[in-house]
Amino acid sequence: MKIKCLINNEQKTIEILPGEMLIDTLHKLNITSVRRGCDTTSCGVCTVLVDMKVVPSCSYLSARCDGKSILTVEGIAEEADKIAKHFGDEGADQCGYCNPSMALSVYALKQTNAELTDDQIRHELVHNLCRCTGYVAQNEAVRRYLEEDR
Amino acid sequence: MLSKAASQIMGVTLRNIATVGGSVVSRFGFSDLLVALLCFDVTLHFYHHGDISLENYLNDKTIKRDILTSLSISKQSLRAYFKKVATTALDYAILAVGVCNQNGRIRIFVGSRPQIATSAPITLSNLPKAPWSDSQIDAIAKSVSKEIAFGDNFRASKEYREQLCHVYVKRGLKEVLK
Repeated sequence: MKIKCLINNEQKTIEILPGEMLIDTLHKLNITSVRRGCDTTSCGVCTVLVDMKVVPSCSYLSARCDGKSILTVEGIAEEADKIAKHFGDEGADQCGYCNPSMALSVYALKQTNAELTDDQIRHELVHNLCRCTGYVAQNEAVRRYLEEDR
Repeated sequence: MLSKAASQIMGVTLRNIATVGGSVVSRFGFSDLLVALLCFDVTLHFYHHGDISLENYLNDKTIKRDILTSLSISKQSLRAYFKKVATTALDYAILAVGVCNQNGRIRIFVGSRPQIATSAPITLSNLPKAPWSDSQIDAIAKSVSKEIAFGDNFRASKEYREQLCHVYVKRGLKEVLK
């Protein structure tokens, strides 16, 4: 079956299998920033934005994307650089496996323009597991990014 | 209360793809939302079987292979309490407790026993006359925790669930009786 969608602001028509998950479709398109982790919606490393909503691409049928806009970290390069700088400044980065998904979640959070407490930030990002850092430095980096330009 | 129960389900990503209907129809034992929904008068509208209350649907296992077209929650004034107990934010609950007070009609629901959510077998007739003292509330909560069937799984033992149930039903009763 064919679907039409906007991937990283480029209109695409893609041939997919009926039961194909979004992560596999994106990998077929050589979008490799979307990582495969638990494959059961628990770890969050496969997070992408569909119509600006964070979803786990491992469990999101590609067929549902017809007519929608999909963003991966390649599509938010400029903002991802800013997020990466804050992560670097805070020493919040180790293996980097979770960073693309974290950047997308943080970017989506920034679009809400909400003023969040540290607890609320933690609540919003609870689905992004990081096995390296322990989250303290990450939360600080996220807070600094969210407060930027405010 | 419903938003509080829903906000504790996994993370934002899963909540963006999960549905209330999916949680209800699947009758999952670990469902937090079912416990919260049971505190309200919820009617399920099935394509083939027609209308059925949520509580009856959970007890009636004969309804299979049907389509839940919608569900309705009747507007009512009640005080309600919900508590999910889990070891981590992303884990399934060890226990979920819902307590509601609708104009003096108290109902208690317990889920993640680990079996499916159930109502506590208490009725107004065998309760002491209100207002209840702290010791009476404690006794009611204790009897609820003894009467509900709990089980073991790798998250918690039957005995631990029973103790948690006692504590959180007590807190719930105090909250809805304020």
